Amino acid sequence: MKGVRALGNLRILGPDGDTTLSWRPDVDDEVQEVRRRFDEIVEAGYLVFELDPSTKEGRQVTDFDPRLTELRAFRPMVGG
Amino acid sequence: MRSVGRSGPVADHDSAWERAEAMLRDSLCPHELETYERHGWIEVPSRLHPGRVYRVDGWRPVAVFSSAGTFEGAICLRPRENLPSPDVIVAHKLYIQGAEEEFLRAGNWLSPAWRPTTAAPTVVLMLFLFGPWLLNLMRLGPGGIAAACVGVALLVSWGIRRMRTDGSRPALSREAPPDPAPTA
Repeated sequence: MKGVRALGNLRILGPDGDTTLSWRPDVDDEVQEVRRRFDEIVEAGYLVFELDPSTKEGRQVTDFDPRLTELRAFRPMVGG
Repeated sequence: MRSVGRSGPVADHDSAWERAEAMLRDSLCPHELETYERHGWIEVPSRLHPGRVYRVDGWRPVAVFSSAGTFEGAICLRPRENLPSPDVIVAHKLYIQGAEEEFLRAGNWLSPAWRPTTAAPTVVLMLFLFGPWLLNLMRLGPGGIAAACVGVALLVSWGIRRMRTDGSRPALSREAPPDPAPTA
């Protein structure tokens, strides 16, 4: 669909499966809502990674950028 | 999305697993997906240590292989909560790719058990253990010594046969997966 920016997804991993927050980069309310949630989980210690849509490589992110399209977040792990 | 004919925690578990599995497949490149479908694990190349490869299966510690394909050890790093196994694979993959240094720092390194590469330590140990016994058998005369030698020979031949059997097993390497694919 030309002219339509890709939908962004923040998927937060959890015991019951992931919780997905989606946003359209050009809709301020959605961006602000996801940004607020993003900041909350980062504050809580979650690790957030961008998943490159083409290479599927991961990159850690600490600031929310509405232009990103695929984010995965999970609680920090512990050594077993 | 719930499984037909199920309800309650089991259906929730299935649903969570299905979503995790779908997300995992969506998070893998074609090569990783092919490896996952064939073996149940993926391999993530190190960015910090050229040639090193991490094998991630979501339910065991992350296995570490050198560029030569030899097993170097494993890194135990588990989620604080009970995540579906496909989610753990995604988390480990992203952790390694995006923050490998932190991944290595947070995880516990498990080294492979030391094993002697020659039979010399075993022979010395056997002499140490059986020496006094053999000396005592001298009191029984030549017959006793012969019986003891036969007994020791049988023991040694059993040990050699066992070593040969172990040697015929596939080595733990990147080319030969050590275990079958993970299950739920």
